Amino acid sequence: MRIALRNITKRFGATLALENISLEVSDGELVALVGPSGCGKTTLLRLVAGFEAPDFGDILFDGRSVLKVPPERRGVGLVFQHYALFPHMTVFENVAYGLKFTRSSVKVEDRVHELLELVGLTGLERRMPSELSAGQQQRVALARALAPHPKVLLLDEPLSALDAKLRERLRLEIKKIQRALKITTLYVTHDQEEALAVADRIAVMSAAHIEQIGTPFEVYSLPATEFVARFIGRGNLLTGRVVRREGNKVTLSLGESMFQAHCGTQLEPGQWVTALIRPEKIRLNQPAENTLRGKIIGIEFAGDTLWLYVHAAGITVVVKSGVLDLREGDQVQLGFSASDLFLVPSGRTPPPTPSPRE
Amino acid sequence: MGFLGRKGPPLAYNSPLPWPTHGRGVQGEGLVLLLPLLFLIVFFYAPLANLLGEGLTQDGSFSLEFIRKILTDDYFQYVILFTLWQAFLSTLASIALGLPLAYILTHYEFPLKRVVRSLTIVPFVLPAITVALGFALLFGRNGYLNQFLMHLLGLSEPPLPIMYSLAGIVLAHAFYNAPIITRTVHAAWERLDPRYEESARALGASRFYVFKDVTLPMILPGLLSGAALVFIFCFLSFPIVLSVGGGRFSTIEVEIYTRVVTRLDPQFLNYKIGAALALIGLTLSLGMTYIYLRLQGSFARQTEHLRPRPTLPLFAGIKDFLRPTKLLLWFYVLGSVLVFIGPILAIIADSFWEDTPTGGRWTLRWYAYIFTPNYEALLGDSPMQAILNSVSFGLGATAIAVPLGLILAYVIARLRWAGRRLFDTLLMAPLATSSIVVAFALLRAFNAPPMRLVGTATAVIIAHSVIIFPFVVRALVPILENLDQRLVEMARSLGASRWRALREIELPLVATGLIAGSIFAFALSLGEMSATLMLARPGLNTMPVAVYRFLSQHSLGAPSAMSVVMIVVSALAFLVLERLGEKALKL
Repeated sequence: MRIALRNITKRFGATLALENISLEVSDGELVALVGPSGCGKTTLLRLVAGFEAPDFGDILFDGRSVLKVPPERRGVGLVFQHYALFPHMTVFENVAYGLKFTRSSVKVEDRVHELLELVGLTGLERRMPSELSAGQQQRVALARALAPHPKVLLLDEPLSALDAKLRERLRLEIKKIQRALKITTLYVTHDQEEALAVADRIAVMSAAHIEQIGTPFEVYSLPATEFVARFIGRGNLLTGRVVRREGNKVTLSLGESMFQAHCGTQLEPGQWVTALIRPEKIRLNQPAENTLRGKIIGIEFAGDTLWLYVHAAGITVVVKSGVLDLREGDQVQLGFSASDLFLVPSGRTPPPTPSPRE
Repeated sequence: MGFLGRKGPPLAYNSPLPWPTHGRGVQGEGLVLLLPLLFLIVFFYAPLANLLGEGLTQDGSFSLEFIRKILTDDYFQYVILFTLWQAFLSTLASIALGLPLAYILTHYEFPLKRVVRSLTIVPFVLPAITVALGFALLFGRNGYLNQFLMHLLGLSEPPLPIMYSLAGIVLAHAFYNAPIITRTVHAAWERLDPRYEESARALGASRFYVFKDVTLPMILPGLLSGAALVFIFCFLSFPIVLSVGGGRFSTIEVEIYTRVVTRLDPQFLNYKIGAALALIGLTLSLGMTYIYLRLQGSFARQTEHLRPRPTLPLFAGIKDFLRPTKLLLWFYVLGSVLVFIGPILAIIADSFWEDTPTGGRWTLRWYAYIFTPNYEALLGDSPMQAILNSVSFGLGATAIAVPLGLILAYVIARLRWAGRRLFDTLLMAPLATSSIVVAFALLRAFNAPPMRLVGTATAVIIAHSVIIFPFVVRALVPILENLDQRLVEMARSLGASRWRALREIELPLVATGLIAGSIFAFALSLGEMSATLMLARPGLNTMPVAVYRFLSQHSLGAPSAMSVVMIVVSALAFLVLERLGEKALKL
């Protein structure tokens, strides 16, 4: 099933929830909608499910508009953050519920068992939802959504209520099941790490519109806007000015130093730009096109790496370091190549300098 | 939920021990805590046991003779079955009247919605006898509705003989109890996360199936517990059956009242019969209370991450207005306005109206009459005295019930499950006991020295206290439960004594709830009629009793003026409660 959203606009009273959104999801693809809370991603999902109607625009399933189709006939499977398992029904009854409304040659019992096996919950048919752990409830919710053979799977923050370890395990399982069933999936999450991990493509949303659509690699490495650069991954965003430009080679002034960068777009000397450099691209004490000396002002230990906060020549940057024997106050030399300094069209205000995570 | 329902979180991680076991407690704390129990034992449990004992003995030895007599007698069988039957019909009518409002409140947005929602507590503070009076004025043979219809249709007979009929009793009960249904169902519905219904729809269920499979099962516990409560209230109802039924219908309560109070009975035989009837009635109502509590338990499901239910405007243009479902809703709104507002408007109109041979005129004479101390043979006393009595009994009962209720609520709020159930049950007993039986028990227990209270104001005040006491406790428990005990611990660790912590931390935090609880208690006492009527002597009449006596003689005007006084007091109580916010009093 292909899904196409065409120029969707949706208002709630005076609030603009979605503004002119267009998005294509191809058959069997998993697209993650990621963005901060209130950006409209859940509303978009509810429009696809049929619980809200757009004020403007069209939603197509395999090229046919579904705007007039009520939710129960859209053939979508839906999983909510807090599961919404029917508390007065057993696991079996929950999973079997959607089968009441579909005609199928397969016996209900067989289908339920098949799904419980798929999500690894065989034997829990008679339990009530209240007798299950959060992770088990989430698996039941997934099984219930998949039972009537939906053509589209909609996941609304499916893992946000779980703890970190379980979240990582379940997102892998969801991806595995999605691949096996080749079911077209929209996956809403506010967790960019989760989106990067599961998605074929990611739509980064902010304030009612889509900032960028691309593969995880593209949104991480080639952010289209400052918002995407800021939202996806951990990065150093520095505001500076273009000093000189020769072809695609740009010289920038950032803080008190000059840096070399590569840039495809038109930039004029004197223009403000935002430069992104990922923490893992900065090397310690190695020669590079761009270098600067600074002092470590904060250290976070993360097992195999250290996150260093380095103050150098008027700017503070985060550095991912494989070298572990470092102390606060140590002097270090930072280096990175011109091609790793990625320039994004600048927002107006200079960003705050990064600080140790709270 | 109604004030019978425990709201608020179950005992949470921060629930402290029953009372501080570390450090020194408040001096004499244990003794203070015994006071409410002592009060309940002396003025409720012991007299009740004594009374029930009377029904189970003959010539000083145990006997089931009176029970057998009642259960095999055709007339008494009829009375018991009629009591159950009218309660059943009244419950159905309350559901029919209350459910649509719950639906509207849950799904639609309209001006004054908050006020309408708060107005559903009015039946609790509106004296039942004023409802009976309003029904007589609106639906009686000479009532406004019948007069209007006769005039309109040119009939010679009143077309709607609602007064003095089973239909009248049922309708008046529905007026009184439908708001309970509305409250419980609305609470359950609003707490139902719409995502359950959306999940069902996404799975292919049509609106009908969503309602049948998901919505209904999930709001059903709320509906059933509300219905059980309404059934109990209607089963125990006295003023409405007596006045709206007009003496033509007898329920267990009415039967006890007439046997004990109005019949000459040199052999005390009617006392025996009354006691046996009380025992049977109490057994039935306790059974129903048990069912109610069980339903309450199954209802305690809370959704933590509730998404608010989307609401639609009730009025959304003429086209929407003319849709069949909307028309039906508007029809309901109109009907409920007639049933809910009509009787009250009828009372207010009547209190300013005087019939004259040439028609009638507006007048203030009824107010002048009730506020001057002139002897009235119907009361054996002056109407003015009834007003004064109502106020002083109300103040007295509030002064007893609120402090005692506060102490008991404080204990209950800090108890863990087992102890809590015990106390809950102890408290439910006075709730499940009708006011008639409470007064009857006091009448039998304190009619001889050394405690000869019958015929004194003290007896009435004590009866009122016993009756309103459980309501006060129920209203205060959630407030005290929400009081974070760590605040007291913090105050004490900072050097405050237990008394200071009580005075400076706990009391200020529950002050609003206490004020609301006191006003609620006063309003309940003011409206109490049944027990007062049992215990009343000339000089001890209250406003509701006076209204009843006037009404039973078909004398209107004066009781209307008096009812307006009560309605004004109820309205003031309502306004204060509303002002303090429903949070202050978890009704």
